[in-house]
Amino acid sequence: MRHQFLDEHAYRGTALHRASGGLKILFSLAGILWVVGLGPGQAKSLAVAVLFLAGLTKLGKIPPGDFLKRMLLVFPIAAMIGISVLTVPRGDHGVQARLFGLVIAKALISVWILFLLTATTPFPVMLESLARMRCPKIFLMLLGFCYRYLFLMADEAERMTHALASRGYEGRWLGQARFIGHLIGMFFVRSYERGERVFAAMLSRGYEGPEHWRAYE
Amino acid sequence: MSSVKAVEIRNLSFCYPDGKTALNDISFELNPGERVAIMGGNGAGKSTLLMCLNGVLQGTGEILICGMPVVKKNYKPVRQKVGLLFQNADDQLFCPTVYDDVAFGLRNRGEREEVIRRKVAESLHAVGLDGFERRNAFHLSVGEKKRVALATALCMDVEVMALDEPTSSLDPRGKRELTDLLKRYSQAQMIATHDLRLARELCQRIIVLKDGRKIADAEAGKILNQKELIASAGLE
Ligand SMILES: Nc1ncnc2c1ncn2[C@@H]1O[C@H](COP(=O)(O)OP(=O)(O)O)[C@@H](O)[C@H]1O
Ligand SMILES: [Mg+2]
Repeated sequence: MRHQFLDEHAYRGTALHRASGGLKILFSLAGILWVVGLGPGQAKSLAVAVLFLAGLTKLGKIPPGDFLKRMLLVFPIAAMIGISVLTVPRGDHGVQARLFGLVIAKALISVWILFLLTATTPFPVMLESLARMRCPKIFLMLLGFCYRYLFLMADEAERMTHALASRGYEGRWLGQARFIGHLIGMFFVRSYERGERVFAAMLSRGYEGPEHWRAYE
Repeated sequence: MSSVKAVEIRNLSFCYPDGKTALNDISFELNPGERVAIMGGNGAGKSTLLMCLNGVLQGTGEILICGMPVVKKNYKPVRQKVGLLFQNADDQLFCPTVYDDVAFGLRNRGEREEVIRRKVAESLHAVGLDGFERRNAFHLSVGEKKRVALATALCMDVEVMALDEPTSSLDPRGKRELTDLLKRYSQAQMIATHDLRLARELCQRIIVLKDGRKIADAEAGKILNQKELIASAGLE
């Protein structure tokens, strides 16, 4: 399995890993709300948040390389949102630039918080904690399925692109569109069929619908 | 109990919605504790047959599991008697942890959590995976996944195990381990496979399917000696 998985670092034994899942979820949510609510004049608070998070990241013994990779992944999205802020004229260039920076910083810090949460809490523990916090069951079930099948699907998608590549497909711009269409179609059909088989497996073991589903009790 | 058949199938036919007839007038019986191999090439109808056993697919004709007809009002008890093992264990293990997966059926049956915990531990022990409760199916080897899938059936105290190509995608050692494991269980087993060695080693009896029809049903030794039959069923 070559894909990284969501809670890859979550099975270590640091103090941060051992802290209660529910507490970590609450603190993360509160942290994100706080960061999102910060105004343009509160750069100092942002700096404090960054220092605090850096400390926690160190405490959780999370490899900086992995952390940076995830941040880079979300950077383009954060930048897009930042640019959309620029299209609304507000004050002079200095104000605009500061707003732009603020939006990006907030987005990155929020993702950092979530990353810390997932990197120090095994996903099943997270689900159990959410259940204790009265999160609706159907939501827990969906999250569980995502966790279970997301990477399997990523593998499948990769195999499909490899199959295309091994038949001489080079991905030139115009010809590409058609094959990408095929690929997405195939991927949809396969995922749909897997869904059917998983549902058959659930029925076979006495599943009678979400209202009867018991777990995390 | 001994007079009640584990499985009775009478004139079962099944047609997929696209018009493809996958099973055509199949009849046979299975005694408690009997192991039978359902053999046939790809597309012979093996998987379809197994899926009919617990009503996941509904054909025409009659199926009885331990004397109970497989009809809508009996699905619940029937599904507690039949343990279905899918060909691809990834379809069967859909929970975040091995524990949740094995417990799924027990929870649906309404067991208490202490009972569930004990049963999960017992059935993981029975497949040689002690202490795997907190593992994630995503990180298991194919052989381990198959064994967890077995445990999901064992914990329900099923009387019929229906296994769909249990040894496909296993390496030789994995095949050996699974075969040895299956030999130890006393439930009636219906093993869909095109692996002649597996059939020879595990089953007293073989049923051969071809294009949805039953073309042979006899003692394993007899069938395996009929070279023509084996060849015409696309098995070698
Ligand atoms: N979902 C489906 N829709 C339509 N036809 C199907 C479906 N699944 C299987 N079939 C067809 O039914 C026949 C029997 O399939 P199956 O029971 O899967 O065979 P086996 O397991 O022996 O390889 C095959 O011809 C197959 O193409
Ligand atoms: Mg099949």
